[in-house]
Amino acid sequence: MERSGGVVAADPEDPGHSARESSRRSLLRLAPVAAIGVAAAACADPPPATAPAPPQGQPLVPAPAPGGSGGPSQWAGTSASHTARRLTWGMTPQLTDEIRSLGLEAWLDQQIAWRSIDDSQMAAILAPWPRPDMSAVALADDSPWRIAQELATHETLRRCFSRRQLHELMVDFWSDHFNVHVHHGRAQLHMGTYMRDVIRAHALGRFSELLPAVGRHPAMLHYLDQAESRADRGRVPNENYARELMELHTVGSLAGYSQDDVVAVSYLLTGWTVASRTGGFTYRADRHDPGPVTPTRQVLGWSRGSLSGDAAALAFMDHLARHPSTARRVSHKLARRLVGEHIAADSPLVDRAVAAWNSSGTSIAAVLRTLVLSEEFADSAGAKVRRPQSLLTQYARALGVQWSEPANPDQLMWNVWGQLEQMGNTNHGWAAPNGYPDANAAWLSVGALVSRWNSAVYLAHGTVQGLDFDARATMEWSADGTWGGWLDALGERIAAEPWPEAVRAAVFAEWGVTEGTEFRSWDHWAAPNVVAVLLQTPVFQRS
Amino acid sequence: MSSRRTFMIGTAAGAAVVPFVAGQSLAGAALGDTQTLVVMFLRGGCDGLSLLSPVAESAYHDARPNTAVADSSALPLGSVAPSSTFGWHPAATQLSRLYDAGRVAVVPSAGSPDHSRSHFDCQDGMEAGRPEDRYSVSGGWLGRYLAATASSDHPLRAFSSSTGLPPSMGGYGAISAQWLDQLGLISWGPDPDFAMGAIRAGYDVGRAGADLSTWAGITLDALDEVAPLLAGEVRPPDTWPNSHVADRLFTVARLVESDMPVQVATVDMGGWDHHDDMGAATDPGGRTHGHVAQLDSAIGAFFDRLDAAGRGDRVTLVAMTEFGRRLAENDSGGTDHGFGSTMLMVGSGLNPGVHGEWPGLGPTELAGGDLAVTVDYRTVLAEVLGRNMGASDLSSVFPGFDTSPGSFVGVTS
Repeated sequence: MERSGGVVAADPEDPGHSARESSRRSLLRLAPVAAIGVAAAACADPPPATAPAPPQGQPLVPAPAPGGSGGPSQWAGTSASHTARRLTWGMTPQLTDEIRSLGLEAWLDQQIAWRSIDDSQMAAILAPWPRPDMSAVALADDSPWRIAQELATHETLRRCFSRRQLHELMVDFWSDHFNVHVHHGRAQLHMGTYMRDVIRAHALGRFSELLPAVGRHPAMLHYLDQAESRADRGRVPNENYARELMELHTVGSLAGYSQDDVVAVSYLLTGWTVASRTGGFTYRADRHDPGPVTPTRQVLGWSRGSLSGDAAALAFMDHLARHPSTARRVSHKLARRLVGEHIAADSPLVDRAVAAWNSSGTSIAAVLRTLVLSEEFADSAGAKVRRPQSLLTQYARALGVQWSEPANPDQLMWNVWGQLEQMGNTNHGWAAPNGYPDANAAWLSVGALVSRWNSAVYLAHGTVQGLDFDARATMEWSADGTWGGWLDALGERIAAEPWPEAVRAAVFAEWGVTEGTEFRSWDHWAAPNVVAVLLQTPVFQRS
Repeated sequence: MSSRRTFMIGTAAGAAVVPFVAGQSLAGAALGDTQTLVVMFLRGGCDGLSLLSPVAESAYHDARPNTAVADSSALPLGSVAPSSTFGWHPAATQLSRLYDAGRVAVVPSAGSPDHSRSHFDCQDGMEAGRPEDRYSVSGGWLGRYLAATASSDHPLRAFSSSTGLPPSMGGYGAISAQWLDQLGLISWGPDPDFAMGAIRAGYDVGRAGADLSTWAGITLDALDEVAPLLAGEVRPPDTWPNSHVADRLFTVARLVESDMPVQVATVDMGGWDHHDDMGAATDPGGRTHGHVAQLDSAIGAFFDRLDAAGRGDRVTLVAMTEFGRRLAENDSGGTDHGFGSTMLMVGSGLNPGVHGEWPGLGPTELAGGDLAVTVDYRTVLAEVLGRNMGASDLSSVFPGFDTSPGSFVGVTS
C-alpha cells in the first residue's frame, strides 16, 4: 500500500525537459517573454504524456452557454489593465496589450489550460536552487533555512518570469488554504514535493482530488500531527488534523459539527501516516481503530456503512469535498481573493460560483470562470491591497527586470527572502494552519507600509542580484531628451498611467528642472531615485 | 503644524472614527508619566497547567504521566502570597523571581466562554472583545478602548511590535513594527524629506483609496516622531535573550525608556499548539520547557531593562491565550485543545498572588475533559483597564458584558 512519496518523480510541469538538459539563456527579458507565452499558447502542444491525466467524466471547464452566463455582455466592460493587475503577479504594458487583443475570455481560457503553455524557459532560471525538487530523504541532513529560502526563490522567480501567471496565482491561493508552515520541524523537508506534486498539480483541477492529495502528503501529515495519530491498543488519536480538515479545509466551523464529531473523525483517519523508511505516505491498518465510528454513526450527514479503514476515510474526504458548506465556503474564499472582500458569502456572485462548483464536480476552473467573467469582477478594479509577495513581483514586472543568471545565487535568494521578511510575508511563513490573511486591513499598518516603500527603492536601484534593472537606461526613453518626456515615458511604460501631478512637481522641484529641461550630463544619478518615487505611488500598492 | 484630522479606519464590521493629531511635539511634560499596558497574546493555546502547575492535584499527575510538572521540580510560590496548590514550571525562573518580589498576579482558570476549541474562533472572539457574537462589534477591544479614551493623540500612543496589527487593535490607527529601524524610509541620494514629501503628495484619497491614504498619513507622521530614536539602540545587546518574543519586547522597552507616550503595546508569541512531543518538564530540550523558557526569559529581561531605566513601575504586562489544553495527554506525548488556562500579569499596580476560584481537576469538576473557566478574561482586562489605565466606561470596550467593579477578582492593587 505504500506510495513512493520519498522518490522524486518527474516534474509534472516540465515533462521531458530536465532542468539540467535545457540550454541556459543568459538573458531573458521579461516583457517579450510574456508576449511569447500568450502566442505560444495559441498553437498549443498536446498535453504531455506524463502530466496527471485529466479526470474522466465532466469537463473541468464547461463550454459557455451561447448567449448565457459568460457571454461577452457580462465582461465587455472589464478593462485589460485591471485583469492584468488582478489575475497575474504584476501588470506589464505588454501583457495588458495581449489581454486586450485576445479578449478576456480567450486569455482566461488559455491561462486555465496552463499545461499547454510553453514554460520551458523556467527550468534554466530555477536550476541554481535544486532543493525544491529534492525528496525528504535526500534533504534529511540539510539546512532548514536553505530549504525554505530556495523554495521562496523558486516561487518568486516563477511569478516574475513564468507564462503561466494564473496558475501561479492559484498555487498561492491553495498554499494559503492548505497552509503548511515551512519552518515546522518535520514538515519542512517535504515542502518542495508538497508544492510540486499536490498544490501545483491540482491548483486548477478538482477540489475533490486536491483535498485527499493534501491530506495524504507527508507535509500535511506532519504539520497537523496526523502522522502520529493512532488508535491501536486503546490509544487516543490526535485531533489536530481532523479539526482543521473540517474547520479550515472544508465545511467551516459553523457547518454544524460537534466536538464529538471531531473525535469521531480523528478515529476515522487513524492509520494515515508517514512511513519512517521512505518518508512517504502509508496506510497502517494496525494503527487504525474506528472507535466511536460505527457503520451508522453520522458525521455531517455521512456514515461509513459497509466501508472501513482507508476506504472509509477517503469516502469521508470525498463527502467533505462535495458538502454544500464546502462549496459555499471555498467559493466565497475564491471570490474574496479574485474579486474582493466586499463580496458577501450570500451574494449572487457566490451563488453562481457555488452552482458552477456543484455542476462541474468541484472544478476550480469552472468557479474561476464564473467569478472572473462577471460584472462584479469588472467593477472591482483597485479593490485589493497587494500582499507583499505580490507587490515585490509587481515592482519587478513593471520595471521589466531582466533575468541574468546571478554570479552568486545565494545573494539573490537572501535578497528576496530579506525583503519578504521585512514585509512580513515570506513564502509559507505563516505558522498557523489558516494561511496568510486575505484582507486589506491585515496588510495596512505603519511598519508594513514603510517596508513596502523601501522595497521599491531596492528594486529601482537594481540592488537585487538577478533581478537586474538599470534605471539610467530609462532616460533614453525620453522622446525629446527632456525631463518631461522622460517622466511621461516612465509613467506610460512602468505605471501604465500618468504620474500624480503633485509627485511629478515634487520631482522637478527636487532636481531643479522643468518639463522642458534637457538632460544634463550629471542627471543620470537621479534616475533610480526618480523611478523609486514612481514605484512608491499608490497604483502599485493595489490591484 | 498639528492640524487635527479625523481618520476613518475601516474594519470588517464597520468603521470607527479616530481623532488623530499629526506631528504633535514630544516635548510635553506629562508624557513621561504615561502608564503602559503591554498585552501579550500566546497564540496556539498555551498550556496553563504547565506554566503554573497545579502540583497538589493528583488528577493532574494521573492524567499526564509523561509531561506533568512534578511537585519536587516545580518552583514554589513561597515567600509572597504563598500557595501550596501551584508551582511554577521549572523553566519559569524569572517569573518565580518576579512573583517573589510581589510583581506577579495570576488567574489559573481564566478564558473565554467559547468552548469550540477552535484556534481561530476563540482568538477572533477574544480579540473582538465579544466571544458570544464577534460579528456584532466593530474593531477590537483595544481599538475601542483607544478610540474611547483619546487622552493623547500622539502617533505612538498605541504600538504593536509586529509586522501588522492584531485584531484586538482593529479600528484604531496604531503603529506597528518589529524593529524601530523599520520605521525609517530609505533614501539613497536625495534628501530624506523628498521621498516623504513625494509620498505625502501621491497618496490622496482619489488615487490611493481611503484606507491606504489614511495609513500613509499615519505612517509619515509616525516616521517624524521615531526618527530621533533611530540614532540609538535598535537591536538588543548580546546579553538579551535570543527569541522572537524577546526581540519584540526589546522594541517596546526602547519606546518606553525613551519616554514615548505608549499607552498600549501588543506583542505576540506563537507556537503554543503542543499537540505532540511536549517533553518532560525538567528536560531543557523539551518543547514545552523551551517555550516556557523563552517566555520567561523575555519577560525577565524586559522588566530588568525597564527597572534599570527607572520605568519598571509604569508598565503592566498581561499575557493571555485562546484556550488551555486538555487535561489528559494524548498518545503523541502532547495535549489537544482544551478550555481554561492561565492569565498572567506582571508589573505595576498588581495585587500579587493567585486569583479567581480554582475549579479543581476531578472528574466532576472538569468541563468536557478540560480545565473549567471560572474567570472570564474580560473580567480581568476590565479590572486592569478600569483600575490601572483610568478607563471609566468599559461598556463599549466589552459590549454586553458585566464590567462593574463588583465582578472584579482583585488582580489589581
